[in-house]
Amino acid sequence: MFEIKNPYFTEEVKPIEVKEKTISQLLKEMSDTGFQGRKLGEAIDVWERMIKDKDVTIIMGFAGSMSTTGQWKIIKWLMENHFIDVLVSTGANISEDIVDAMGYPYWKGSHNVNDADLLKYDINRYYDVFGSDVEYTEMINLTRDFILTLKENHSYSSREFLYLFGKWLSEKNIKSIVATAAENKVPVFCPAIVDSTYGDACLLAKAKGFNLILDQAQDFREFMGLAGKVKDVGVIYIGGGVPKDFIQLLAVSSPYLKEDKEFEKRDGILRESMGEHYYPHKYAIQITTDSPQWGGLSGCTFKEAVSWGKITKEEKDRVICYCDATIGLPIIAHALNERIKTKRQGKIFSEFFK
Amino acid sequence: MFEIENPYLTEPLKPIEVKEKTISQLLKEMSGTGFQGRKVGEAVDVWERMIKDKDVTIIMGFAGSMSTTGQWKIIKWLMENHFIDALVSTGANISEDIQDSLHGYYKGHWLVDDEDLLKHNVFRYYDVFTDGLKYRKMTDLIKEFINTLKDDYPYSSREFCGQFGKFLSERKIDCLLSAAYKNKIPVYSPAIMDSEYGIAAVLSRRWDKRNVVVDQMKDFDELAKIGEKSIKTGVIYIGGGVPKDTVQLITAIVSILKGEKLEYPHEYAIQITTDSPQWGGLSGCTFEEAVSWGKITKEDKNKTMCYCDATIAMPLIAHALNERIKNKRQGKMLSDLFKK
Repeated sequence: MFEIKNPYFTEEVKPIEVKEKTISQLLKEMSDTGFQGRKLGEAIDVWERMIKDKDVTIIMGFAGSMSTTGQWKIIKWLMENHFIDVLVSTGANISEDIVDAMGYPYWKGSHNVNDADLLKYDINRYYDVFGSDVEYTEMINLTRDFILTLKENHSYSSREFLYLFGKWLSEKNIKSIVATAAENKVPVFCPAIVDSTYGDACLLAKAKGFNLILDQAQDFREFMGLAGKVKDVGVIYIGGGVPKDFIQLLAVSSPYLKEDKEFEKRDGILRESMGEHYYPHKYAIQITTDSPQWGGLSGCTFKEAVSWGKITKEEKDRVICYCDATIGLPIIAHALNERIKTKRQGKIFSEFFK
Repeated sequence: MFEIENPYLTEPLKPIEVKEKTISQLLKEMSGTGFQGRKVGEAVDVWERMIKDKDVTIIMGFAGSMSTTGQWKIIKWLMENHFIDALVSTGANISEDIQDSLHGYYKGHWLVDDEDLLKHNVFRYYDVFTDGLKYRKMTDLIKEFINTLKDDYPYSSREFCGQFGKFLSERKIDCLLSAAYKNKIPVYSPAIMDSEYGIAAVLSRRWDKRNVVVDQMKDFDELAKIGEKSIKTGVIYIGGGVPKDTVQLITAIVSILKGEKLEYPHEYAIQITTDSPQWGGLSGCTFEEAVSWGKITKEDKNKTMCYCDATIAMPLIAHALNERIKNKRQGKMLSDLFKK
């Protein structure tokens, strides 16, 4: 009897053998297993290809409150090596790191604790991490002091605001994410910036009679304007939320900046029924604990995003790993550090840093 | 203004700095962060302490269908190093590794035409494929083994798995049961019939007119004996399911049989799971919940639950252990308990 070749059996799963190896070797081996272990391994492969593709601008969406868990120096390292070109963050991630950078650490706590008692001791809990509300307030006051140095009634985008804040912090030797971003000319957008202590600081400035304008429309114009200055886009999402949604929109909303809804210098795809072009992100990675069955954007698959024209149809260039980012991000960063020995050139948007 | 010491702020968190380091160094640093990253780091610490505590019998519960994803050689390595003393597994995990050894698994996709897979006799496990026809050959092999057993004798699943391990070992089939046989690690599979073993057993009865009996009562009696004879027990759960529940129950039966103390909780406990507490089931329930049952130690530092896909956490933890512990552990040799 001769065997017909089964078209589904092309590449074997390789069981992992435990022995001494580097982090990136282990991850390479995990990419030959199954389930989320494979995805985590594949995420590094996709990021590596993104880094080596000279036409790609890499945009990172950074959601949640990850800086409190000790992840923020990984983001700094990514910016210093230009493994990302643009950062879109929640307000939490780029304010709570400042507390730590000011010399007030977060503390190892427990998820199993009397929260009413924590309240008495002025402790804010982030699952198993404790932060002092008193020190938190010092960070808010610092942010207010910065706001008072700005121009009143000027329409700031979050990007301009955060660049100036980063420069200000850098001069004070507070080396937070936005300070490192300013030093390395990485623009940082924060589309929901007032939904954080930045909002509190705006109110404190207002109490001193200062009127700060953070202009969401200006934010959107500047961010969508990036689409005309790049060739291809690769995205990395840590969590979902507003950062992911905002960056996903770049693929389809940016052509609205142009009357003919097209960037002539880019290879877009024409949607004939609407007479407009769209520009799916060419590479995509996401690490999330959300799941597709709830219907939200944070957990939705990249396959779903294909129907919107937001993500490449090429499966090998996209990967979602369902995992806590406090596991996925350190592992991926260390594997990248082992694999890529030279700083990336990076795409610098120098017009933002004048 | 003088500052009052805040009793909750005792150990500062340390942000991770990216540089060259070993797997175990990275995991150690992750244990100084938050959320599940901390938990996976702590899991290595707890396991290490378990290994170094000479009074502990280490029992692993191994749920789901993890052998299909390339995890089974990690369990084999754990047994060879006696980092576990007993294994309680689903039937899937101790049969589908045989399928791997004989016929292999293939990288597949979770987005695929499953009806077309059916036509091509491909079984899918999320993003892993295997050959359904060859799967049946694995079933045939189990049936061939079953037919070598005594009729009407009440085997515990440990005796059954031990005999099968010998059978597989003689045929030089590299898998968990043959490794367990060589390393004298007892293997229990309390719901063994809920797998290819069940199919093979029914075929043996219907077609070959044999009558193999696997006695659940004997299983639980033996596990109770392991509990009674151990000074302390430590548990490692990969997933939850029947393996976790059975191993948790050991504490309940031991406290009734011994009766000296109210409870005999497992003194160390690690779990890796993707299930969550809010569904109310045992697989995802916290070790704190288990404290109310007297099943798990009250000591926080000796227990850790990491919510993560085991295909991520298990390779990381195993490689970190391999770096940290340079000597084989002296195992508890539980098989001696059941020598006649």
